[in-house]
Amino acid sequence: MTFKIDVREDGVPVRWTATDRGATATPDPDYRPAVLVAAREDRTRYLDWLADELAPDPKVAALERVARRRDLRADEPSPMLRVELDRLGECRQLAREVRARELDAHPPGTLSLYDVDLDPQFRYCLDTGADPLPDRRFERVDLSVPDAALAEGDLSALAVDGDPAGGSERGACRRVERVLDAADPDVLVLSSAELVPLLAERGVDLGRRPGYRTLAGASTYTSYGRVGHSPARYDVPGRVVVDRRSSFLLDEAGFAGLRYLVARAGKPLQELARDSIGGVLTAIEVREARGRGVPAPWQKRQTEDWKSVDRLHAADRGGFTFQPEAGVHGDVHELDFASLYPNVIREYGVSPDTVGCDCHDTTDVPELGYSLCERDGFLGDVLGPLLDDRSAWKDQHRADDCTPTERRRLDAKIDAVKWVLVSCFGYQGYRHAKFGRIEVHEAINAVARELMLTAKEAVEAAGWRVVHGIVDSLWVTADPDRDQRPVGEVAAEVTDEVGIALEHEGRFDWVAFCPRKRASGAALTRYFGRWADESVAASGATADDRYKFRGIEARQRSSAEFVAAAQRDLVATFDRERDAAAVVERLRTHLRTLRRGSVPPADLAIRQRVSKRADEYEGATRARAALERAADLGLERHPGQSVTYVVADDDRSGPERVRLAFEVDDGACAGGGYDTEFYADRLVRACESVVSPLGWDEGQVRRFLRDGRDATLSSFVG
Amino acid sequence: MTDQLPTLDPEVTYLDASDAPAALYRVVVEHLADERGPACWVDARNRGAPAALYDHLGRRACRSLAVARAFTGYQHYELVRSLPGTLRATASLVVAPALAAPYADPDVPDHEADAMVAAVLELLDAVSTAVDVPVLVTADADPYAADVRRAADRVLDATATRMGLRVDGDGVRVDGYWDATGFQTTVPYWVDRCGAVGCRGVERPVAPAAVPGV
Ligand SMILES: [Zn+2]
Repeated sequence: MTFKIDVREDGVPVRWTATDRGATATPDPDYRPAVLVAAREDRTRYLDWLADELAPDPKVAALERVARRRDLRADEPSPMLRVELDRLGECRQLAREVRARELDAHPPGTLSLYDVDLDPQFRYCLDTGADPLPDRRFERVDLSVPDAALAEGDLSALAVDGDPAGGSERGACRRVERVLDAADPDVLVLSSAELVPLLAERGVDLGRRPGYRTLAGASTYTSYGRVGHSPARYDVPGRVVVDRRSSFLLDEAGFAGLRYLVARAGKPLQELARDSIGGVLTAIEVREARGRGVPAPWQKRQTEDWKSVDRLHAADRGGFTFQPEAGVHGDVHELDFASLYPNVIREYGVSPDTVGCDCHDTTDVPELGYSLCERDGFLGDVLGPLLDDRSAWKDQHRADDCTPTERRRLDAKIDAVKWVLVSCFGYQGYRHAKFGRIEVHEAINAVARELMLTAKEAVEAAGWRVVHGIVDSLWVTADPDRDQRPVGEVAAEVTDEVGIALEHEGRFDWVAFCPRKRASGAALTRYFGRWADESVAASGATADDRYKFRGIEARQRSSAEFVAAAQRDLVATFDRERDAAAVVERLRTHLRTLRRGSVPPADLAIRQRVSKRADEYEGATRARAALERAADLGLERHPGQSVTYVVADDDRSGPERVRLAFEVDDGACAGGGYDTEFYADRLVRACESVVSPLGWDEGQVRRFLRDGRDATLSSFVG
Repeated sequence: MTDQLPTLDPEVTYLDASDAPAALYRVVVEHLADERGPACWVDARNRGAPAALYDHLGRRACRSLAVARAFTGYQHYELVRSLPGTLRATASLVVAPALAAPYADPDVPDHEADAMVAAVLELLDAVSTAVDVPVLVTADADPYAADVRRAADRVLDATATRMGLRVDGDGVRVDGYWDATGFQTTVPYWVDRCGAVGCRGVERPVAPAAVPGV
């Protein structure tokens, strides 16, 4: 219905409602946003004091005493002052002023504020119940300009829905206007929001009314301990602007995934598209909590419970790990708990409002002894619909009559939800999570560990030996001295016992676990294996991807494709020969290809996320060199974005050390423009990962390359 | 050897451990060797990580500790405010390492941080008097370190020397040295003294009225 909310200069929201072919605008001048204030220990005299203070404030439209629950654990509502404001978008300003008044007159923390930092558009939907989805499909138009051209403000290479728009700026602008007229899109997906001002300068309005607004300048921020960059944001009347560069979700979950999350969060598309996963979770939780009469706290003041050191230690343990011996294991079954953490949350009712409740004196959480209340937990209600929808989509996906288009749409939605589900556990421990509680994080972990132990004991009792286990997966092989019951049968029994599906993922002909790199203390997470025929057939995979890789170079996003492909080939050699020397012998072929200089530069490109500005890097790193080169070429790259480069000369330190991907695409430095020894080194390391389960290290690989088979053998012997 | 070490009195003691981070744990373990009551550790910046506490204090001394961690300035403030209601009258020590660090984080606006740090320093002073308990604080190199030092009743400076750890300051008559074995030899002593002391729960809250501004 109301898929886009514009905020007029005078603060009045304008709701855009989809019609059969187009959209209509309706101003809502009567809407008033509100902030809630509670006092320490519910002492109402502070609320009376604040009401007197705020009465003359022209921003304030009305003051009213209401009752709301302060947090999810509160049994009774507390008295709160509801401060209604004239204009959408002044809530934070008012909150800062309330804080300043408080500090002048009372000890800090006398007042707690709620419903302060909500996106104005999200707030509007929450308050009015407006549905942020149109009851038809979103009409979209995709506009893109290559980075290098954008850096020069050149729109001649603009493409509309992937097709080049004309070849001249003038032609491109006319084309955009024609497409907007004909399609009347609701959504503009832009390669960069900078297209909004650039097109406006050329007389092209992207909105359903003339003009545009700058919502925010470009900025750098830190979130979850990572540095991010948010590009400038622009708003056009009546249309949703989605900036591809700043939409993690569009990248990972596609449009169908975005649309689903808009429905779940009740947050309009434009605002949701630029959220992080944490932002999406926050929105879903804020909405669920509001439904339970709990407003969103501004600064979370809830503290950790006092704990003994022993309990703190028990609580600090991470996920389940069962350390395997590095090496190669034959005939291995993999068993996985499906969505373990979210299912623990739902099936066991682990939630901020249930852990360590006051009404039960039980010790439900293993190792920690926290009670778990029997009431329906908040977090289970947040995740339940996501879990149910996801498993329904998986069923549809498996159905014979599912079309390829439908499968793609389902994949996008399945991915969108997967991201939210994998993040929900970590988010509980995040210090700014509005409804997060550290004890919930600890309890989820403790219950999950217990379930893994239950599963481990069950398979062992059925004659299997566990060769590796980590977080939610077990790898088991037949104990040669005993008879086995079918592993699928055991998994089904565990599923019945614990209420969470333990799935038989498949059988490997062999799995190789790499030893730890140095004594890092981390669990073994690097392995590769070959699925058995029946497992390959069952998954519908092709013979080419019958291998599973985890943690090794072939799987790392930052690996050059040439190195990744060579490693996959080395694994195939490993499979055929089961002999380290044969694998290293095979490595020679790849080294020769590299040294001939005949590798396409695109296959050598390394993609890296930038965490700092060029001048903030200590020492000369490749990322720094790439940033300097980008700057020389007039291309802005900010922390949080990524750079893609080919290493040209690793001995140099300045911008000559690398070439950016688009330079080599242009052919500007084709022909021997890469640092052979740098990539040779990467190949050797990728090879080491493959032979390490057989006991070889990098030194042995290098000695073998230098001296050949006999020399290496003799070095073993004597 | 223990008689050479500074004893903590019911006041706020600032320990400058910037040159010798382990000094915090040493002073705590020595104090717990002499005192029976439970101790509260208001943690910041992970100084109270279980591994560090086990390493430096030993498992049994840890049993007299109750720890709560502050991940933001707001949480730290609330933890300190909760002390009068949490501490038993028998409490033997309050420890607040990296006291002002969470307030210096960018997510707390400066004027709020200033006010909260000032209030926390007053509160700790009041707690030490009202509950008659020593309060030991340290500070990181943050903008509030000087305020924390100035507000303390007593200042101790820890230095790591070739001979071991040295603590100088008001009222330390003899500079205390711990060598590598000094810590070890004290272990049986405080295990004997404090081994069985529990530290959880609120036995007899101190009247909140004793603390101004609460
Ligand atoms: Zn209960």
